[in-house]
Amino acid sequence: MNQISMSLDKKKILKGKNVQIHKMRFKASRDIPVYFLLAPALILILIFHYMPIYGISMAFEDFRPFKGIWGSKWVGFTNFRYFLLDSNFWRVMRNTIIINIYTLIFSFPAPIILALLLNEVRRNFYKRVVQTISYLPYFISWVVVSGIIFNILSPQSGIVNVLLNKILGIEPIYFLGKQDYFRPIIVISGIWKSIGMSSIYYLSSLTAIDPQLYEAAKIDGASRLKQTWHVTLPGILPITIVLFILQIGHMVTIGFDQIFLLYNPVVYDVGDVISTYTYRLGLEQMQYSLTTAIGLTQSIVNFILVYSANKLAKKYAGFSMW
Amino acid sequence: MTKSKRLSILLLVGILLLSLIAGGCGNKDGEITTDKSAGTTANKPTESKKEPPAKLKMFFSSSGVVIPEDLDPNNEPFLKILNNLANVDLEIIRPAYQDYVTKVNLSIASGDLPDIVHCMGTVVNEVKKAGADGAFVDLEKYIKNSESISKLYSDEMLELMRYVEDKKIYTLIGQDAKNQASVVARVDLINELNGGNCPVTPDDWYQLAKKEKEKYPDCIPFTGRGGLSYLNTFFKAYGATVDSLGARWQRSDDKYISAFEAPKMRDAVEFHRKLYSEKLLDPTFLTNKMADEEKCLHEKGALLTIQNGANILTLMDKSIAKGNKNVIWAFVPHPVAPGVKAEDATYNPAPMGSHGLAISSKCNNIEAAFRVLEAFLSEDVKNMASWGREGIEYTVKDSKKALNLEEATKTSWRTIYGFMYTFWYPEAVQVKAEQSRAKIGSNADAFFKEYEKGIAIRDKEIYSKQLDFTGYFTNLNPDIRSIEKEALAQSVSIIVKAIVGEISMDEYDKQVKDYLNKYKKVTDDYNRAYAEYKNSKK
Repeated sequence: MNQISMSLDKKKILKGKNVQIHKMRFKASRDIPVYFLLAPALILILIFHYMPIYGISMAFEDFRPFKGIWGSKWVGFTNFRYFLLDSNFWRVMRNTIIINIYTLIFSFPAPIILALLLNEVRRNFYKRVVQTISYLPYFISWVVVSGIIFNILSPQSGIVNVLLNKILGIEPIYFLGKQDYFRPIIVISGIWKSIGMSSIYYLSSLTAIDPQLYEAAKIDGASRLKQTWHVTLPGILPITIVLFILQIGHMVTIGFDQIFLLYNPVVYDVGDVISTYTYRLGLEQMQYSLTTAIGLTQSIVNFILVYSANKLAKKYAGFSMW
Repeated sequence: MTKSKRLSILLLVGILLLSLIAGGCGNKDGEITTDKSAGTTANKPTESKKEPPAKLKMFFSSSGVVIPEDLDPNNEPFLKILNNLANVDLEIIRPAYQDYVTKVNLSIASGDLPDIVHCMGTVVNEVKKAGADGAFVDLEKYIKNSESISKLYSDEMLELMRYVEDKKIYTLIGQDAKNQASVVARVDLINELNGGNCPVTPDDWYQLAKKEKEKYPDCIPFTGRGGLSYLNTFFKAYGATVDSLGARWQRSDDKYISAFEAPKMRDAVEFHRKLYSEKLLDPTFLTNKMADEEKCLHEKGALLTIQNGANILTLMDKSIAKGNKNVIWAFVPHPVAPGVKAEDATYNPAPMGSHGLAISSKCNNIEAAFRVLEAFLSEDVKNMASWGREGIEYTVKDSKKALNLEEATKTSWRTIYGFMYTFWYPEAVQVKAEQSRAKIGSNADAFFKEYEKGIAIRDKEIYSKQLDFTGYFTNLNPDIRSIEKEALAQSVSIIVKAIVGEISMDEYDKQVKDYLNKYKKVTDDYNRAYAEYKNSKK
């Protein structure tokens, strides 16, 4: 009897699965145009991210451009040993991680705060104006932004020094020539440039929160702050976690343009980062193998960090990217 | 999903795919295409002009010379002259100047090279390395077989062009113009503030700068650009070879030392520190771009800079354009600190130029390509790059050349053809001087008197010295050379931090000590290479 009931159960399960599979097939045929829509992006990723993967072998070779990847001599881990034993590498790695930590502490919450504040604004016109103004800097190139920063912080004619001198009587400070100010300048200029665009993710998440939750909270006597804490923040938690995990995944990587355009020899100790180091070695000194080895190491470390962050998020927040 | 929705999605997909394909296939100006093949004639070593012109491609940089935007590099009269001389039909590829080195390096990396490559800056070394890998032709036999070129190159110059690893010659380096850069100063300000007495020591210059600051509080007596660029003067005055790249390795008492080990290097750093703290050195010298530096030179009363004889004329042109009619820039004696030998405080003559030409190993007509090299080094092209075309840019009266100012100014960009003579050889400087005379106006006589005097001072300081090839033959191991580059970058950091007061001089001493320990291997390799060179001469 048990065997018969089990086989009957099995049949039901299989039938259910068949029905499911049948349903899936039916959906796929309807959604073929959507998959076609996805095709260019997939082709792009395939061509520019997967096909060049064989180039990783450059990290294990003494790559000579004219000989090519297959003709260059295999040297094993020599390139890895070189940069891991180079004190300059650890200096740039330290700077990269420190600047990224500052970015995580200050830059990551900034768009969340802006999104929450904008969410409280009732007048649509004012809200849109502020949004537009806040995300415009995102579209300005770092070349232009660095020129603006040089002008604003100039010890001779910069507005910051003029105000400091006129209001507080302070002698002009050469901000970009001082190690103490360099990292804050990087973080603040980064926030100014990206806060608007990043806040869009959170704003769109906020619009998806059911208004009935706010009504229920009001009825329960929750103040505006309590509503934010108990309704709004949990509502945007998934997107926050996703973006946080992605941010963790860039812990040993940093943008090149901003640092390269703003740094100078005085601030090398605090501002020279892995991207500028790789630029000097790769493009100025043509050490392609070494920079490929560095890039590969970065990718592995970033992958470990993303995986770990995702695991932790799943375990403690109940939400993860995969 | 409705039919119209599907159609619109398919249309969107089609557009996206097309844009993806279009984005992947570029054919911009300056990029090499493989559509046209380099057509060739028979590969015979002949100079016969009856053969049809060989079609060749060439990377040809503007070298920073301002060229009219609407100028087609493949349809201008000077290229036609070059083509006729060499019996070739050159297709010129001219990337933007600031991208030139990167473009050439990427072409080498991709293996997609034109037939001829104009080498400048770091490209010269990259071409040598790539040549050893088979990318470029060994030019030695062509040089030796060429009557016109072989007489221009001594045995030592040929040795200088060899790649250290395989001793082959992949780049034909140009001739020196005998127009080396040296200290150029505002002679009018020296006359006004110092009664015409040119400062001799760094301290004399400091006193002059203080006088200028007293009289003109907004002035900036000394300036630089992006780090240590153009601050060489006073380091050199103290016997330390420090330039935009950093504290170089130099010879002292028959051995190589880092400039940090030069006896008066610390004094030089302290001197600059004093200038900076007393606002005599441009406070933004670290981050200055060219425009900021030029503002100091032409509007803020900067006292000195480093230029060659031709660029003095450019300085004059620009100063006058800013309304400074009485300005006089000219060479002055190089400052020398007390206790430093004069020969250690002045520059040495360069044995060769810094630009060159290389022929790709994929070129199908190497003989034709070499004719192009010969053409660039010919007297015809030398004349064309300076005076221009007879009957157009200049005329000849009583066996003397007379410049047609208007026409010569229109095509002043023709100097780009003079790179194999390092642009500003005497004839080119003479032409430039004639063009400047008209712009300088009433002050021209006073200026040219000081200018000629200055040229004589410069020539005596530099060209009275014997050519010394030693430094050029001291070849480091490739691994050490890349460490040297990192070392130089770090040396700049230590020096500028001390100058701006970011670190104390005690901290400077500590960092220098650590630096010398860390990069001792570079010093050792320099001395090893120097010992090898001396042995080879025995």
